Amino acid sequence: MAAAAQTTGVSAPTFTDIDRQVRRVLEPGGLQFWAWICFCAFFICVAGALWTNQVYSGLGVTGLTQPTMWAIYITDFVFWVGIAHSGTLISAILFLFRTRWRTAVYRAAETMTVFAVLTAGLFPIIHLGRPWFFYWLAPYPNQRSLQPDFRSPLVWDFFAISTYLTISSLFLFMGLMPDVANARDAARGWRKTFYSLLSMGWQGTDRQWRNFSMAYLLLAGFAAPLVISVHSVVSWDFAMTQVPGWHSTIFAPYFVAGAIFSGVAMVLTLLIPMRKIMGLEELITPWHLDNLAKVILLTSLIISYSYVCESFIVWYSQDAFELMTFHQRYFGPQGYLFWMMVACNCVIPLLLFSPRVRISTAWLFIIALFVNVGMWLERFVIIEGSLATNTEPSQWRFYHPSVTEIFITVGSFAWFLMLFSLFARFMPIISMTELKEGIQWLREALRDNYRRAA
Amino acid sequence: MSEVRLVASFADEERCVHTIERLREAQVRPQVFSPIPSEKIIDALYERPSFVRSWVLAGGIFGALSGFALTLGTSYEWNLNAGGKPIASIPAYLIIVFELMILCGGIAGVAGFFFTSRMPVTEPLAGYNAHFSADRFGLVVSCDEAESARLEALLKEGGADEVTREPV
Amino acid sequence: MSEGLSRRSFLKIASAAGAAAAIPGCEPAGRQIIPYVVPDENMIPGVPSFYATTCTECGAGCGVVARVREGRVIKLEGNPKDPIGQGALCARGQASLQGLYNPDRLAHPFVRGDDGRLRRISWDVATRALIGRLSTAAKAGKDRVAYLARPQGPTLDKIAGLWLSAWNSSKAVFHEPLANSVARQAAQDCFGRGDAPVYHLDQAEALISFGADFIETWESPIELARQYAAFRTPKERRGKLTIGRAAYVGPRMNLTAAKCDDWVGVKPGHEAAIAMSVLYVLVRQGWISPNSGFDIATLKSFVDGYDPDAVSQQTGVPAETIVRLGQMFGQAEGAVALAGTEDKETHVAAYVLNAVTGNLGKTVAFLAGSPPSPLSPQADLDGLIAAMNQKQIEVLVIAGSNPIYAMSPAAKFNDALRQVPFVVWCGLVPDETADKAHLLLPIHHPLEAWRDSAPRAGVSGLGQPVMQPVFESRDLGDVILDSARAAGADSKTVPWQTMADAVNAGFQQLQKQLGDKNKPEDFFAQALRDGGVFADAKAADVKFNPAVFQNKPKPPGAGPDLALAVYPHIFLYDGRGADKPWLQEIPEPVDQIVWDSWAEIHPDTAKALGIAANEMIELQTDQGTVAVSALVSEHVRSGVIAMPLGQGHTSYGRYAKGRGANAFAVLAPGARSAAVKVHATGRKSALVSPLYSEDMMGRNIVEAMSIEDLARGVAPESETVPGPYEMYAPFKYPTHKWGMTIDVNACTGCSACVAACYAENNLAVIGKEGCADGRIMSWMRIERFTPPKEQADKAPLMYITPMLCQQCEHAPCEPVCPVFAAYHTEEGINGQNYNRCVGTRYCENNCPYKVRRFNWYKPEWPAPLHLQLNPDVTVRGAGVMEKCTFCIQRIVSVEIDAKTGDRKLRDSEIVPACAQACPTRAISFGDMNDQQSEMMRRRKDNQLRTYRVFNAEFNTLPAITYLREIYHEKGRA
Repeated sequence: MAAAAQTTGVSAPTFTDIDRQVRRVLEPGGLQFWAWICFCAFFICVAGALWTNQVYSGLGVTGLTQPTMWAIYITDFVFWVGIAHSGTLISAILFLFRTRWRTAVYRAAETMTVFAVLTAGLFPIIHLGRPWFFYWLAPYPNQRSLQPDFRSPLVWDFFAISTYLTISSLFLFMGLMPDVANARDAARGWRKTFYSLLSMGWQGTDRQWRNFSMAYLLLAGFAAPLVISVHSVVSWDFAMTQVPGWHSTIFAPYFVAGAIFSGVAMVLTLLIPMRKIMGLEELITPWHLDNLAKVILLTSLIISYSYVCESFIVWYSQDAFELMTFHQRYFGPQGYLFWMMVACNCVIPLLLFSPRVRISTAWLFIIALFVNVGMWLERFVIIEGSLATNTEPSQWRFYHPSVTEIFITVGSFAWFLMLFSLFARFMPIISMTELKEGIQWLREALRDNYRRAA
Repeated sequence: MSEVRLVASFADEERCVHTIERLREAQVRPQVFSPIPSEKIIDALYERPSFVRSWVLAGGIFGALSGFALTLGTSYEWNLNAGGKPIASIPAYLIIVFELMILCGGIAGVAGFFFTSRMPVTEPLAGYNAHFSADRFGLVVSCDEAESARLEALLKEGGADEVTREPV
Repeated sequence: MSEGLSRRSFLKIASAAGAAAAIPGCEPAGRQIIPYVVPDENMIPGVPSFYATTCTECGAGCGVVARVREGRVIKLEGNPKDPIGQGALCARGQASLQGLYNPDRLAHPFVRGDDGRLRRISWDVATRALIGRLSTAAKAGKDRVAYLARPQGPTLDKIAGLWLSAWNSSKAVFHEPLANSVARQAAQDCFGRGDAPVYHLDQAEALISFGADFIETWESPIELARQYAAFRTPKERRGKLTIGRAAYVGPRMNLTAAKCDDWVGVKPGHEAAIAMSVLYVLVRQGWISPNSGFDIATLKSFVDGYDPDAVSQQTGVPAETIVRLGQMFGQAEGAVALAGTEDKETHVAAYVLNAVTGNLGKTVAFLAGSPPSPLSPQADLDGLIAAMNQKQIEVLVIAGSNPIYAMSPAAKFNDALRQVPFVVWCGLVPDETADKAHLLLPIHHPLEAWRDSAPRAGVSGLGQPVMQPVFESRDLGDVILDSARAAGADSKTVPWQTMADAVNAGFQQLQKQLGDKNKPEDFFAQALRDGGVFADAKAADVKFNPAVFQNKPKPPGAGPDLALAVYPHIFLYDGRGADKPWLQEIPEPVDQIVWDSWAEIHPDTAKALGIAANEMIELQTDQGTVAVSALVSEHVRSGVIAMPLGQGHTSYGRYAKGRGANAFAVLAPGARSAAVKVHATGRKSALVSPLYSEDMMGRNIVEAMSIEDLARGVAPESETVPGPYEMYAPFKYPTHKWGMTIDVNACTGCSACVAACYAENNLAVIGKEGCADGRIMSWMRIERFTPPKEQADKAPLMYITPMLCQQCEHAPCEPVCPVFAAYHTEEGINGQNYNRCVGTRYCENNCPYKVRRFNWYKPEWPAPLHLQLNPDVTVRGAGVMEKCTFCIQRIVSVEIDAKTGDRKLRDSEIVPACAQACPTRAISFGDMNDQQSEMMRRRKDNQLRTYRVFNAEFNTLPAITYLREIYHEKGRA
């Protein structure tokens, strides 16, 4: 083909190659796939049953205690919101910076974002004492003109999370349209109808592209500050209080960095198996993974710095409350959690300084898993530890999770993975359009990749 | 005189753009289909940037204003004292304002896109074919019988892989 | 109602509002019940009536006022007119409500079949069975019937006697397991009179308590705590600002010791030696009051051999400590020594100490015409048991006492009881003794019955039924009278139809004695309103009997190397409190343990014996063995193991059964201590405590200052930051801004406030497991911290304070609530809107005081406990946050009353439950806008002592201001 003919080199994928590879994924899934979905569904049902019981008999079924009013549920919430962040980072912020390597991975990241927010959104409701009244956090007209208190960080949360969910869904949907149209034109049967509906009649006319590019650019422009704001708001749930260990101005940047850190790690945890299972190695190349790894390394260094900084400020302030809380965090009965966290978030990612590690999928996968664990622990240590060692020494009490909480957490992972798998199976999980747009970069990547391999 | 439609498909963006420019010189406005967002094509066809911008601006402003209205309005409608904070705690409310600005702006942007690009459409446009969403750039020109020969030649030498002629 | 409604009362019910009206006219006797405040008898639903009556939980005999709503008593409060309680009521008194509404109370008469099972029977069958047995027994011969009971008021006790004689017997034994009878014997020896003195601690300047825990359980705790608070309030003495100086001599640091300047830890049995040694110091130093008329020589010989060094060698108490005690006692103007031990010597020594310093009649007074001891001498009990063993007793009626549980195994009461063919048990909740009885009769709770009390000269308490009986029970007095009549007792021997008549008659007699000129019914009506007749009694002038000095106590010797010291639990006392969930759930103030019993061991001793905390240990004495889990704590002297009474029930209802161990099982009769061997079992059994850290970690939760500083006018700097820094204009509270002042120095930690809060605000009881999960629901708690060793000289022995919602003006809990469930009312109260709460629990996270409580489950009150719930307070459901509201329902009701009466609120007219219950009046409540309110004046008068918890750190501006604890800087005796 003319386009292909121009490029030289061993491997020069064309538009058609890209289409072929991505469309292949969209073909009906095998038995294994549905087995996997059922596996996830099972854990979701378990979690659902346990939650029903919790609603019926009260939060007593959790391990929460008098001072430690928040623990695993809120940890999960912050964790998932954090996961959600890298998606928008990759799709919006890197889009604005016109970063080359994002094209192959951003769709997956964005999908992850939407589903992670969906998962995160469950937890504030799950953890409520009276979940059937969760809508009281939303302003709605009522006789008593009773409205939420917009001073409360939880209400900020409510607005931030719902905005984030809406915007990132729209963003995902917009980006999907040309690819769905592509899929539509290749598909047959019910899939054709399905894709046709979803493509909204996209045909790539000049008028559509013109407005599309503008709308997409502006959406990206909005999503970029949003992503920063959302996790700042989440961090303010803690920073706005007077709880020693929470009340810190560093929280917003520190949480945002941590969010991107954990999010990119989660992207890797998803991409590495995905590209294997779906045979997308040609499109998601070690070059992409390498770049993601660099982001992880950077953010890891940032949060390591934040840990140091946080502790330094505490030491510098010489505030008795803070000092004691941090002493407990490091050396208290649950200190081991903190040190595990340090190992996962600060030490293990340092391996990524080695280029060889950065292109080895196995290494990356393992490190990413550690990072996920570490970031979950970070939130737990901050939330549970600070509450347990509060201002009132007589009222301290450490928390121990209950079966309900553990399985609801497991269920949330199942729920997330199920949604993601379904999406990856039925939607173009790689943006064909953008990959084509930057096809020469992909070619370079592949060449580069082969050179390295040699 | 009967009308005909010439449908040219290009594999290469550059040539497509080049051809578009030639057509413009010949006072012909082709309908372009492309599988990728191509700035070159857009530049070749339009002077002014998309109108969607103003939609987003309007949405953003509306969102911000409604943010202020919501927070301040509800606070003053029933001014409850919470922790000695002032009834109008502007710094706290700014967060709501910001979120609503983003929300409305974003929604307006998408709405604007659909409006300005006349979507959704149910029927494929004249001359569209499955390749134009995948691996081909398409130029569709409608002209009357007489002109068609000249334009077809123009498209050909522009580097179209193939040009089909359809009666309207 | 057992005997159905009389026509009169039926009409009443028909006319007035439902059950509400049934109270004044329930039993025939009810005719004379007069409401305390509202004189008319038709009551309006929603408006409480108040009835005065008396408390029977302990011998102190405080007066109480029962608040009755819609025919159900919902709260007990102290009777202000009663000279003993003076309006305060302790936790045990508060909790007697749960004795009344106890779900495990015997609902009907039961008879035990031959198979040992209980069969429900009607009262008629029961009485016939009883009378049948009695008559056969009476025919069989003399003294075949016996009556074993707790003293239950002079009238009832008298009736019991008459009833026995009607059945040809005289074996009435009145027994209290923890009776302080040695005090009376000592008084007999020293002054030739068999009554216990009354004390005026507030008249004293120095106090030494030899094992008398007068703040927890000894004699009359409310009265003595009140006096002690006065004793500890700063006074000008000889141109110097001082507070009374106090020392406690005993094996365990209980609340009394904790509130003293010195706790002299001794092995049980060594108190006497210390007392004698103190006396020795007085004699040597010549600190003998000249007009006390003692011969120095006899005294010298009496105390000979008790010089501090010798005693110090035997007891291990440093000689200088003893000397210091002597100086403090001898040089004080007005001193008092109290003795609460089981051995007579200590009591004698204490009397001598009081006498030689000329304090008889001043700080210690015997009253003229004090009633005889209601208790029978030990000999009677032994006689009864002997008779039982010799099968001479055919019918034994046990009323209100639980000998099986509360008697030493050495008494062999269990075996003796087996020899009795027919045991009748009359009581409320079936206990260990009931399990052995053949006939079980449900009798009225004191709040359902007529009774009188004579705790001391000049005080004649009158108890009236305040509501319909909850169960199919009867007044014990009526049961006895019926069976007496059945025995053919004529109107001469038993002149009264009912218990009510008997009580009434008693008061007519009293009227004659007092020479009161009113119509008898008016006199009685007035007594009903006031809850008794209170006359002031003269102090009798007593002569000290020098014969005492002949038999001087023998030197104690070193004593066992490991001693067991058993003490009554502040709430469960001798075990009778164990059936009341409040008393089980409120943490024991010193050790902060709930729902369990424990053995306190000093860390050194524990190390020596190789015992770990929470380890099950077996305590073996010559009497037997109990297994109990170990509490390693420094509140007990090394070489001593301290264990509370009260738990270890094998029966006595769901709340008492199977918790902890019964210490009576290892004690000799009448003893409170023993030599003990300890075996560590290695099994763990975790004690449950809501308290995590004893160390305040340098935070200003409880603050204290020395009297020396106070005199110098130096306040310790606590609110280090200037401020508060206000970014915004503060809110105005034009009408009222409610606030509270809490005097930490007056607080004894007795937890009456906590119990009152439970009763007033429908707080849920969640049981041991819930407490172990850290979910105790109490809105207010007693904070207890111990000062770090290095600061021991600049601190009280123990920091004790009530901690409740501080009602902050800048409440951290409020702005974090997303739905305004926590918000600030116009009267400055930190309101909590239960209906609006969605349960994010964010407020508790942000509360520096951790005083908000979350409903983890739906709270439950097994019937009929739910009848106690206060209708004015919402019962919170699961998933809702709750907290102290300054008893907003009480505030509002008074405000409404003022509004309807078109008057201004009077100062201290509004009293929250906690403040109402406080024996020492440590808590006062009022309007912060009114600078003249008693609450604000307390702050101004004690400017140097005021502090607000955590205000410096968080600028929360609490509405509660605390007044610092005051202590003596050590080593300045």
